[in-house]
Amino acid sequence: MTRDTKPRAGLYPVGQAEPAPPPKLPATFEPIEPLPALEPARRRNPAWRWVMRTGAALVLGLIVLDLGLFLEGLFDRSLALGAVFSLLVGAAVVAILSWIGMEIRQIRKLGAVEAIRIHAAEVMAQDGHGGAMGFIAEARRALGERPAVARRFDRLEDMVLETMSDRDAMELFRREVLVPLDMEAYSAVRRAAQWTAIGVSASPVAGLDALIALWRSVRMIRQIAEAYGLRPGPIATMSLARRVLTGVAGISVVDVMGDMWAQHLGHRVAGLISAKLAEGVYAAVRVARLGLLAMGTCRPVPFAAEDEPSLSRLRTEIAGSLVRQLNRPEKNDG
Amino acid sequence: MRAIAATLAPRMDSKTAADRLGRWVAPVAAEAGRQLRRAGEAALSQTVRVAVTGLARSGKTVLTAALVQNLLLARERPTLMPFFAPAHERRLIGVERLPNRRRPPFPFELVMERLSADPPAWPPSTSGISELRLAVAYRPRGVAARMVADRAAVTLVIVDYPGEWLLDLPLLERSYEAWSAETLGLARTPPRDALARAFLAAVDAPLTNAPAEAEAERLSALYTDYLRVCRAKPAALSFVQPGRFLLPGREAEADPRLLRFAPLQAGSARLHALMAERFELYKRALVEPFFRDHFRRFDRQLVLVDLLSALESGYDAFRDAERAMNAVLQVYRYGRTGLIRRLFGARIDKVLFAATKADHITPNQYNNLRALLEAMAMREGRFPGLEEGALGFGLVAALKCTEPAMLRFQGRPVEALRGVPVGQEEEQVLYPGEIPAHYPTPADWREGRFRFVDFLPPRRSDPTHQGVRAIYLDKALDFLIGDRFR
Repeated sequence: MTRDTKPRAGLYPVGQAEPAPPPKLPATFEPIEPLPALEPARRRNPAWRWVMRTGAALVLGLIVLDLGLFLEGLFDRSLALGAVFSLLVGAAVVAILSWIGMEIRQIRKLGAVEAIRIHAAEVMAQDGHGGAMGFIAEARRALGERPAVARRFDRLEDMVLETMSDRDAMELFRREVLVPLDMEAYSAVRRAAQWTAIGVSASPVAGLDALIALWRSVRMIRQIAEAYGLRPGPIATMSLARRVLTGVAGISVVDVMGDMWAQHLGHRVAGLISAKLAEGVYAAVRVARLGLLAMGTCRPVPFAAEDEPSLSRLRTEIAGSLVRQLNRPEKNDG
Repeated sequence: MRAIAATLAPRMDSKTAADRLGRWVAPVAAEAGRQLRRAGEAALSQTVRVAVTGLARSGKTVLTAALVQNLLLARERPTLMPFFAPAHERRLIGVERLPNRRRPPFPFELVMERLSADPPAWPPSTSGISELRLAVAYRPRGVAARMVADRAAVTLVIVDYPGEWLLDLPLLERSYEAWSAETLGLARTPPRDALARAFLAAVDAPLTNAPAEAEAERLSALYTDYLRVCRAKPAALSFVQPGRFLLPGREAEADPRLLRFAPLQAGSARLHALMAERFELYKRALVEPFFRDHFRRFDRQLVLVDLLSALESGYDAFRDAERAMNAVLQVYRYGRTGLIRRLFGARIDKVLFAATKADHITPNQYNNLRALLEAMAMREGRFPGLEEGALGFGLVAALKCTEPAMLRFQGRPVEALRGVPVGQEEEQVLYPGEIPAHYPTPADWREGRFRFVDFLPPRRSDPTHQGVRAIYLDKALDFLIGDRFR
């Protein structure tokens, strides 16, 4: 506040000013401190790592050798046959490589969600000006691939002015972009939970219900990830599922509630109706809990208290759909 | 065939009877439905009168016009007012202007014309009371309300009046003698003593034999000059009483006698009696009717405070602005059983104090400006007349005239503003200084601490079609009337 640190208040020629508006937060986010690891690094036995690596190399080598021998045999028989199959093999290799590349990109993007999350927390904590615009640009890159979401970002950018405080801009971001995405993800969770409840209760074969729950959970996690701008393939979905299950920091809020509710509802429903139905409800609750955890993992900004997905609402919805199904038992085809 | 026809006949008859009944019942039912809907709409519809005030040059006129213009465009462009809930929730059905009823019309077209011109110019400031009526149709939010009617309307009456008139309220409680003693005492203290020299000399001069009427006219002219110098820069003082001496309004212009008095402690008995009589007449003919006929009817109040001019003009001007603000706030300090309510039954239940011209400072100073405004208002206590949450403090810029810029100072970038200052043609960069984060002391006003410059409206911004680019105007509107769009 002394004369040394601030210029004298007054008018200055434009030439003395920077041409650009005040710098926003850098578009590509560079955290000041290294990001915390998403999960604690597990120390594996180095010998086991070598067994895995050499085993993988052996299998890969065998496949390559076998393919080589196979193509050589074909070339011996006919040049045309060899050429056609070489092309096919080449195309397949390219396709597999690009698929792996895409999966890696998606897994990386999954990691970027955490970076965006920290960025958002920083912007909210500072309550300054201009930082939110950089964040919104960053979030757009992560979320705005789908045209409908891109349109929401257009609308948001039309609203946010550089004079707005970061808190206000983040509020608009939440309202215009995040809440609709939350609703989309939430309805995926609800669908999956309801479907699991009905499917498991109606499953005639033991063991099939577990498969139903598993398959529905995987599909749900993918849908949730898609809602938040990710497009995970099978590998990335597995990686995401692992991340959800190992419990990334800050998303464990629903855990305790989920358990309490599952027990409560499980007993009540079991007492009221049948054990089979209670099994369905229990499975549904597990799927729902998983879904809410997945939402917490994929969401680029941690949930504010008012946006926290509500298990009690899900409970009502699952119970409601089950009651509807009970009223029409003949249509209960699972 | 005939037999078939005969068997069918009674059924046909009953069908026609039902048809006839249906034909009779259907319109009745439809009409009843319409009536019900209309009754529902009427039950949900309401009128809200928002008063916009502030001392001269606080930006009332442009703010009122910007508010109306953006509301008119809010349905088509919901991004224009992202913090006005009915607009961003897309519940606005239509906004249209209504003809005026009681007060002179607000010169909306003239203001918009000036702002849209190339080059744009600031509109002339208004000097009296004016109103503008809007019908805002909207979809009710609640399920219960929607069952009653799928649409409702808020009739928004915006009344713009000089803030100077609010400063007259304390006069109602004072006698001429008490007011004179108080006013002359203030005029004799710095910094006013230097501005009041001519008037004080006349007041302190020995008795003359001039007729009392002529003396009253001469003294009131001198007193008005003194008030005018107080308000003008560089003094930029805010507390000017009686307010009508600077902004008379229609009634006072029609009868100049009402303004022919001045504070006086000495002088002939006749002159004194005349002055006291005029003072009482002023209260009876101008102050009371204003509060009774206008102020009493307002539901919401927006008070604009040009804190930046006060800050720029020094500690005395700042303290004076505080005095004026607290005089205005007295209206709300009286409480439910207070003078104003007893006298006039005022029903204002929400008041927003807003520091204007926010575009004259850099955005990183907004929080400080808001906090300073609140600190000024809260120094004299709380507001029993208003419920919790009914008094708000904010900042607005009705028309954003500057863009952010960076000034290089000692190799470091410093936040600044870019715009065309009034009276110039080229863009310049302004470093306005920093708003103190605490309640300031005289030591805060060192040389070169603040500089606030009036800028020209932005060129080619097309406010008529694109809306007026404002700062936090939507938040102000939402605070004032958002709750009425249930």
